[in-house]
Amino acid sequence: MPYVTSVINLKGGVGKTTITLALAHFLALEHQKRVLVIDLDPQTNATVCLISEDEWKSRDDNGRTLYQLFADQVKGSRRFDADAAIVRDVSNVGGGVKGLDLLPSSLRLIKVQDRVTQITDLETYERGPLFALRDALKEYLPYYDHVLIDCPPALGVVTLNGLAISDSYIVPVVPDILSVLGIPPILDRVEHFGRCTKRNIRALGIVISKMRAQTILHNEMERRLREDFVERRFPPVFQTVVPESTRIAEAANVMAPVNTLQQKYGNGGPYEELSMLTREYLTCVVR
Amino acid sequence: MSSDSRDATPEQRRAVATFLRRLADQAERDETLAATLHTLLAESGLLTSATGDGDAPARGKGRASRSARTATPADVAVDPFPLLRAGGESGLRARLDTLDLAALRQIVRAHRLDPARISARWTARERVVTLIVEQTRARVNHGKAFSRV
Repeated sequence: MPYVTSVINLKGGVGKTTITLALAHFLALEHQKRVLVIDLDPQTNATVCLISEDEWKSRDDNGRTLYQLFADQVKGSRRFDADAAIVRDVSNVGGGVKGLDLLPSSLRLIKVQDRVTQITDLETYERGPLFALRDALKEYLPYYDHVLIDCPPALGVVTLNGLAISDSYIVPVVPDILSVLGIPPILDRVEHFGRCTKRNIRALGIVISKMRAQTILHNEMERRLREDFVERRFPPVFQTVVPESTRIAEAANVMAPVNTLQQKYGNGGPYEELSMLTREYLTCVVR
Repeated sequence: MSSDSRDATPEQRRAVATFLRRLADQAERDETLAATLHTLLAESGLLTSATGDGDAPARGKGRASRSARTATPADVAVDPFPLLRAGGESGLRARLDTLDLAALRQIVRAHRLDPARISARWTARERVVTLIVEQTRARVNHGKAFSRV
C-alpha cells in the first residue's frame, strides 16, 4: 500500500499546493516513485498546475473530477469512476512525468461541499460520506508508492475524506503570526478524528514555507516554532526551509516549456531546497 | 572618506561584515531579493550591467541599453499581448516574423515567457516565434475555463 500524506493548513496561501506539487515531482523524477496527487481543494490549483485548464474543463464537464464523487453522495447516484478520473503521467516537465498521476478537483466542489457537510455528523463521524474517497480508490491506491493530498484550507468533510486514507499529514506554514495560529486546531481536530475512526494519523511535521530569511519576523517565528517542538506543543519542524521565490511562483505555469526539475524550479535556487525537502520527507515516512 | 570621519570601531566593523555576509548568503538563496539588489545597484551606477550576450557594460547608456537579460516589457518595441488580442495568432505571428532573433529573444525575456530559458539555445527564429505565440495565447486565455463553470 502507498504511504499517504495530507497537506493541511486552515489558512490559505501558506504553500500547501507548492509543497504537494514539489514533493510529487521530486518523488517521481528523482526517486522513481509512483505518485498520485489528490487535489481536494475546490480552488483546483494543484489540478491546473498539472494539466491544462482546457483539459480540466473537459474532464469536469464529463464527471471525471472529484466533484462527481461528492455529488454522488448528495444525489445518491454512482457516476464517479476513479479509473476514468485519474489523469496519468501529468505535468509540463518533459511533456509529462511517467508515474505522476492526478485525481483532479473541481470548482464545483464549492457548491457541493456544504451540502455534504449538512448530511454529516462532525462530532461522532457516524453519519455522512466520510469514506467516499477511500471506497472509490480502494482498487487503485495499491498501484502507488506515495499519495499526496492537497487539502482545502478547512477541516470539513472534504478534508476528512483525505484524512480517512492518510497515514500522516504535514502542515506548511509561513513563519508569520497568522499562519501559526491555525496549527493547534489542526492538531486537535485530526487527533479527534483519528481517535473516533480508529486510525493513527501521524503529524509528520511542519514545513516552513515562503521564508524570507532577511526579515526579523520570519527568523523569530522559525526559532519559536522549533522551540515549540522541543516543548512538545507542536510536531517537529522540517530542517529544510522553502524560501519565498519567484521561480516557485512561476513553476505553477503548466504551459511553460521545461524539460527538467532544475529548469522548473531554478537550479541553485529553490530546486536545491525542494530536493532536500523530498529527501527529508522520505526519511520521515518509514512506517 | 572625508577627513573628519572617524574610524569604525571593531564592533561596528564586525556588525557591517556580518550584515553583508548574511545579505550575500540570502541573495544567493532568494531570487527576489537578488533581483531587487541587482536593480538597485544597477540604478545607482555601482554595478555595470553585463548583457546576456556578453556585450560591453551598458553603463551610462541609459534605459535603452538595459541588458536583454534584465529587460522589462517597457524596453521592448513589440508587446505581443495587444497584438494577439487585436489581430489573433496570425496577426501576432506576422508582426513577429518581421523581427530578428535578438529582438524575439528580448520579448521572451521581457515578458518572462520562458522562465527556464530553454529557448536561449535555439537558433531557429520560427521556434522562438512559436514559443511567443503559444505562451502569449496561454496567458491571454488563463482562467477562461474557470469563468465558464
